[in-house]
Formats: sequence, structure tokens, C-alpha cells
Amino acid sequence: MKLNGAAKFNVDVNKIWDSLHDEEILQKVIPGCQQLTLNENGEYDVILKLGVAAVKGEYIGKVRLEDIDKPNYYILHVEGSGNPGHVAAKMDCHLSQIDSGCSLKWQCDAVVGGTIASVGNRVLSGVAKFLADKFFKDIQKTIKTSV
Amino acid sequence: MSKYVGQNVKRKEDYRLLTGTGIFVADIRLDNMAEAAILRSTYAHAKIKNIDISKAKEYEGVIDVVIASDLEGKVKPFTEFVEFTLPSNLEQEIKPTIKRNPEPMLAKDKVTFVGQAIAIVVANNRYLAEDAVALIKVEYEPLPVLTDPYEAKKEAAPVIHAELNNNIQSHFEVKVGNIESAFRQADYTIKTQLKTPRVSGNPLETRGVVAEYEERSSQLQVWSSTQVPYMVRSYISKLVNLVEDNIRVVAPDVGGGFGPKCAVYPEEIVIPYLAMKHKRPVKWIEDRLEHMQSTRHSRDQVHDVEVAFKSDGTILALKDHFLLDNGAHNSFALCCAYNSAAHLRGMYKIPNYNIVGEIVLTNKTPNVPYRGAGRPEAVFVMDRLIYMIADKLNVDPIEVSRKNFIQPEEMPYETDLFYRDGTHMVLENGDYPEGLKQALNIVGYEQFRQEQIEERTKGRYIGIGVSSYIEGTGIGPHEGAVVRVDSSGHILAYVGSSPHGQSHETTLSQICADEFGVSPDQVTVKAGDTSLLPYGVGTFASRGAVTAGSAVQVASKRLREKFLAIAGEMLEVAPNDLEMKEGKVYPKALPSKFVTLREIALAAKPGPRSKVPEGMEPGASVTHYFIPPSVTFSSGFHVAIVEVDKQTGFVTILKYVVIHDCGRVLNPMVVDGQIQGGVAQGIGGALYEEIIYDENGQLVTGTYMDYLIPTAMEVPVVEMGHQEFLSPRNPIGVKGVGEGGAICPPASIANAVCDAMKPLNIKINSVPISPNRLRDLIQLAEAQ
Repeated sequence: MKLNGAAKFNVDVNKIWDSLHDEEILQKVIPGCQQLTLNENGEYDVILKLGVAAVKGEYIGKVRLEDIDKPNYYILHVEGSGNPGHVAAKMDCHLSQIDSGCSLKWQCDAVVGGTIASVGNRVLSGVAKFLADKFFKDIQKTIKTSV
Repeated sequence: MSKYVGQNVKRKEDYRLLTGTGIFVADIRLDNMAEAAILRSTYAHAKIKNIDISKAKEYEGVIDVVIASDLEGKVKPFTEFVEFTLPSNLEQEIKPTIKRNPEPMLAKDKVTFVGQAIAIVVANNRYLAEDAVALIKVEYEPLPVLTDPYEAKKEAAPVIHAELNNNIQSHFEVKVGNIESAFRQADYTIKTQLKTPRVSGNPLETRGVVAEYEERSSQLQVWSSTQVPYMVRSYISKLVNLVEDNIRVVAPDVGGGFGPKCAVYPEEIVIPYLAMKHKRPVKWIEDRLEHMQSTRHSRDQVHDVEVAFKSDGTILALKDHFLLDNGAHNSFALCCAYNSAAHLRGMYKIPNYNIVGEIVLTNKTPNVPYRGAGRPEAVFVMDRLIYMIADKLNVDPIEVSRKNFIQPEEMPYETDLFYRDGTHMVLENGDYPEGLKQALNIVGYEQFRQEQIEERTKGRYIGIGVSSYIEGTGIGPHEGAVVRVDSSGHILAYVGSSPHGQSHETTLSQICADEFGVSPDQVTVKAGDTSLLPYGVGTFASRGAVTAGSAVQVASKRLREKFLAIAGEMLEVAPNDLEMKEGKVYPKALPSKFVTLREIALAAKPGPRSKVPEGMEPGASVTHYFIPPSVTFSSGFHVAIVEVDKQTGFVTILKYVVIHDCGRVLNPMVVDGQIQGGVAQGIGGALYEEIIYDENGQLVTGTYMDYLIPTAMEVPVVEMGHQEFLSPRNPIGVKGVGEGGAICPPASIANAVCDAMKPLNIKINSVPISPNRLRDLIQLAEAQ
């Protein structure tokens, strides 16, 4: 499954970069995030509770941020599995400074398996897109409230 | 003699089914019964690095969690299904390669398809079992996934089962005549690729097993929603190492089978084992998602075919190389693939024929025979070719069919092939040109052609499509019947072939009733229980009426003769001078001096009061096993009239006509019902149904929102006509009818759609003809 999208923020690119790497903020804004802890090798252990169509459940997995070019480009690696199935995704995030703040363009390549694929397939890309948009909106909100 | 055979006797089964008093496996509740749930693979191809069942085991209410290693030494792995292995003469003739590749009970070191069973949880109830399944952690290491059979057969492709060396599990070739010289003589050739997709049988009732072990008498009782209780019994005995007679397998009311329930599944072995292990009844009922993922799928063939013909439409030769995308395991030898090869030429005389079949393994759910079992795929190829030939020659396809039919005077017709049962494939009788004529009369073919031209000028696209089939039905090796009269004078017929919608209780009682001269109400048919007879085969491959029907007829006739002999002793009259009617036997000359069936049954008992003639065994029972000499060939024509909405690509079926020959019709209402139901499934294959996997081998059609099944709204009432060429291959003259309805619709409807769109010269090479696909074809044609 290939998805892409874009988000705009009215703050500086460095500020967004930091927020996207802030464990506390991430825990608040990642949809369904129950727990996010940084482990010794720089990966986050994550527990998510999510529902796609009729398939609800808990996923346990790992999130890793691969910084390629601070503050312009990083790759988000996510993998998780749970009773409803498994997900492995690689999300390329490109940030750039624009007049009113900054913009982020993302491209995601995800492999989804198990019940979520068999039952939720029709709505899966819609739900994923919705969750991604929500994630970036919530980042913006979090920054606003913290300012 | 036949008072009830041939009549619309109302189905005896319907009262209980329509009043909700039927009993299906899920309805069985036993004291202290535990329930099982199954953890299934979410990966299409992966190594299993670790399975952690500790949390699930500790979960309150969980009785047991088993994985593959727990079964070692307790439950043997499946062997190939010997029931499907090839007879030696056929093997010598076609010299196939068939690699052994049975399915494991539970995946051990690796998984090879999504939905493969990995662990079974037994708990106090289903809720707890499912909760515990969620606590099992499997660590997978994904492996490269194969979903395309053409990729899978490449030399460089990853091998799914290392011990097989490559992914080509079976290979065979069938040759008739001289294909090369025939191609040289041809005026035209057409080369094309035709594909029938993967579908799922989808009976209303999913699979399910309940097992109970009684330690006192070492009796294992298993209820399973199966088409083959005897086969289930045999494999439990072999694989769990039990005395076969200590196992009783019952198929209670079964809500449809259609083929996917016609072999043994791992659950049917492991659930009984678990019931024995824990000395508690265990129940497992498959849910619909499990059914879509794990119950074997069918069809999925791609044919690369080339046909050579003369300018007058005479077909000279046909060569075909096809792949069956089998999924990860094949335990059925060449079943569907060889059926396709044997039936591809259908009712056409094609003297030069060469077909190569390859069964290729991929990371998908394994293949199984499903209603038609290789014939819908073959018919789709042959009848699309007939229309393509007609297009090429610019003649009506009917003319091409007529030109190539096997003629009635050529019957019995030697096809120069062996059938799957190892006998020479000889079509015994039939009149195909007449059958087509009858079908075209019902639809008003000439008139339709006129109407079609007029409607086209108004921008309305209607089309007519014809398809035909022959089908070898009533395959052996045998089926038995015990017919007896109990001490109350009631007649009982026990058969080994178990029903799942075929109306055994009705039609077999008609056959038996006619022999005894009683009403079918005085006959009770029992089936679906291995305790009834020592041997049984099952209901599949359109064989029930032919095999079990014949067994009942012969056993009934012999018991009737025995009863006349006993009555002769009782009445002191020669048996030849006696008449049996309405439950009484009397001298033809003196009807008032009678003895009843009850009195005769009592006189049949052993002992000093016995009236059994000397030299005859006592008892009021006869057992007969009918062994068919070969299959018997039913045939039929399907005609579809459709309308295509050119803007949306939507196909509406305006009329559907079936003419068929199933030999003697035992009960017209039941036969019509079989055909109507078969056509419904065929329409599913033509317009709606397709199992789709994504490139990672994930099933993406796991629900009825994605996997479309036609409902009563989409299925027209089929208009029918019968031909009745009695089969000379069994005593009652019947031919099988269960599958015929499902065989032709993909071809007849595809042909009708092409006919409707003839001005655009659209070619349909695969089904289902979904609106988006048809719109694409229309757009493509318009752009040219």
C-alpha cells in the first residue's frame, strides 16, 4: 500500500523537527498510542490501540527515526503486530521552510497483513490517510498549546 | 412399476429445515463441552522463529494450547489423499509428475499461506478461547512471497517447499491424434489466453467439528460438517492410530458442501485428538473469515490455447498449455486439472488434441475441487473459442457449434482418452444438435436476432450467449445401501453417500418405494453416519443419485424378492404368483388372502417360527454395493440473454435457459432445484466472485463486502427443458446433475456480453465480468 500526503505548519522548520522527535509530544499525538518508550538502541517501543473498520485491537511494535538530513529529511520506520495482524511501514518525511512556517511532504509504503488486510482492505488507505492527517494536525495543536 | 420415480414428491427434509428443527454441527451441545479457537498465520510466507504460548496457557479458563511440536508422536501428518491417486493404467498413459505435498496439521517451522493454522486453544468456551488466541505471540521472519504462478514456475523463483526442488508440483500431458499435421492443414488458427479466477465455495454453513470420547468403551464420536464422513473416519483412524470401528463420524444436517468439504481438513483430525486427550467434548466452529482464508479455494486456471480450423468452421486441432495456481499444498493429485483436460473438448469432435497441465504452488490457500471441478474452466476455454472462431469467420457461433458436434449416430463416442477413473472415456448416448435446437426454441433465437438489430439502432445492447457441457458423473469406486424392513413393517434404506442439500431422503425413498409398491412415506432413508454401513464414499462429483440411487434400487429389488419368497412359504403359494403392493403381499388371484410387510419381517427372523425358505439366510435386510463400470456422461446447454449498459459496464441477465440430460429424472422438482442453485453459483463466477490476494499474499477479499456473492436479486429464475437419454451404465438410468448448473454460466454470460457488444468487437478472456473491467474493455475498443 502506497500513500502520500502533505501538512503545513505555521512554525519554524526546526521547531517542527524537534517536536517530531520529542518523545512526550509523539506519545500524545500518535493516534491510539498507549505507550512510547525509548530503548537503548535508539528505537521506541510502542503500544497502540487502533481500530480499522470492524478490526480493533492492540499492536505492539517499534518506531525508529532515521535522520538523513536535519531538519529537512527523515525516515520513519514503524513495525507492529497484534491480534488483528501486522503492519510494517516506511515513511519518508521531507520538511521545508516556507513563508508562513514550514511544510511537510510524506510518502509512505506500508505492508499490512492478517485480519486487517482481509477485512479492512477497502477502507485501509482511507483510514491510514486520516490517521496521518490527524497526527500532523495534533502536532500543530500541541505546539500551539505549549507556546 | 415406477409410480413415484419421476414425480414431484415433496422434500422430506424441508419440514425440519423450514421449522428450524434441523441440527447442524454448531447446534450440538454436550455436557462439559469445551470449545476451540485457532491461531492462523497472518503471513503468506515466513519462517516461524518462535511461538510464545505461555500467556495463553495461563489465561483463566484455558484447558490447552497446542502447537505443531505438541502433536509429534501423537498425531501423524497427513499423507496424500489416496482416494484421489491415479489408477495405474492412466498413470502409464499420461506419465505424470506428481510430487507429494500434503498439508501439515499445524504449521511448524514456516507458514506458507495466510490463514494456515499454527496453534489451537481449547478453553471452557469460545470467548475465552479467542481471548487466549490473542495472547499467543508468533515471531515471524518474512520470506519472499509468490502469488503469480508464472513467476513461481521460473527457475530462479524462491522455492516454497525445498524438498520439491521447485514450485511445479504436478505436470502431465495428454495427446490425441497428430497435432502438427492438423495445424498444417488449417485455414486459420487463433491463439489466446483464457483465465478462470480463484473462487471460494462458500456454503451457508461453514466447516465445524465436535468430538466426544467415551473412555468406557473407547468410542470416539465425531460430528463434522463434511461431504465425506467415511474419509474423515479413515484418516482419524490412520493418523491418531485408533481402531476404525471405534470411531463413528456423523455428518448431521449439512448446510452445503459444493466440494470444499469433500476431503479431510487438519481440524477434523486434531479436534477429535484433543477431545480424547482431555476426556472432554471439544467443539470448533469455523467463522466466516476463517472460511474465506482457510477453507480450500478452487478454479484458478490460466490456459494458453491455440485452435486450428478450416474456413467452413470445422475445428481440426486444439493445443493447450495451462497452469493451475494451486496455492501452497496439493493433496488431490490431478483431480481438477485432469478433469479440465478430459472435458475441454466437450461435445465437440476435435480429432487432434494436445494438452499440457501444470499444477504450480504459490503462497495462497490450497486448491480443492468445487462444483464442476475443472469443467467450468475447460468450458470457458472451449466456448469462448467457439465464439472467437465465429468472429474470425464472421458467422453465427451457433453454426460453428453445429459444424463440430459429435452426432447422435456416432454414439457411443470414443474420445481416445482415459477418464480419471482409468476407464476409456466413451460418451454413451445423447443428441447434442437436438439439445441445442430445444434450447434455441425456448429463447426464440431467430426472433431474438431480429430484436437485437432493432434494439441496437436504439442504442440498447442486448446479446445472447450459448455454452454447452458434458460431464462424467457418478464416479466410483462404489457406494452401498442397506435396505431392511424392521419388525414394525417400516422400510429403511441406509446409504454411505451423505447429503448436504441433495434430497437423499426424498429421492432415494422414491426409488425404494417403487420397488416395494408403497408410498415414500413408508420408507426412511438414513445417511451421513458411518455406523450405518461398513463402507461409504460420499456425495461429490455429481455421484449421489447414480451410485447411492443404484445401490438402493438393487438392494430394494433383492429384498423384495426375498420377501416374496418368505411370503410364498407363509401363504403356500409360488413367489411368481404373488403380488406386492401397498405393504401387502397376496396371490394375484386372491388379493384378500394377504400377509403384510410387518408379518413377513417377523417371519424373516431366525428361529423355529422362521418362514425363510431353506437355503436362504434369515433376516429382513439386503446390502448391496453398486460399483459403476465407469462414469456416465450428462450434458447440457445454457443460453444467457443479457443487456449491457455501455455507460456503466453493468450486465443484467434478462433470461437464462438450461436444457440438460441427466438421464432418468428421479424428481423433477429436485433436479430443477439443483440446476437453479448451480446456475446461481455459476453466475457468481461469471459476474461477481473472485478471491484476490495482494502482492504480499494477503487475502484482500475476506468479507462479503469484498467477495461478492449473487443473491436472489441477481439470479433470474432459470427456464428449463430436459432431455432424457437413460444411462446404460446403472440400473436406474440416471446421470448426475449436481454440478451441471454451475459449469456453463461463465462461458454463456461472457459469450452473451461479447455478442451484445459485437459492434465493438470486445473479447472477454477472463471472468468475473465486473462493471469496471467491462468499462475498461469498452473504452479500449472505442479508442481503437
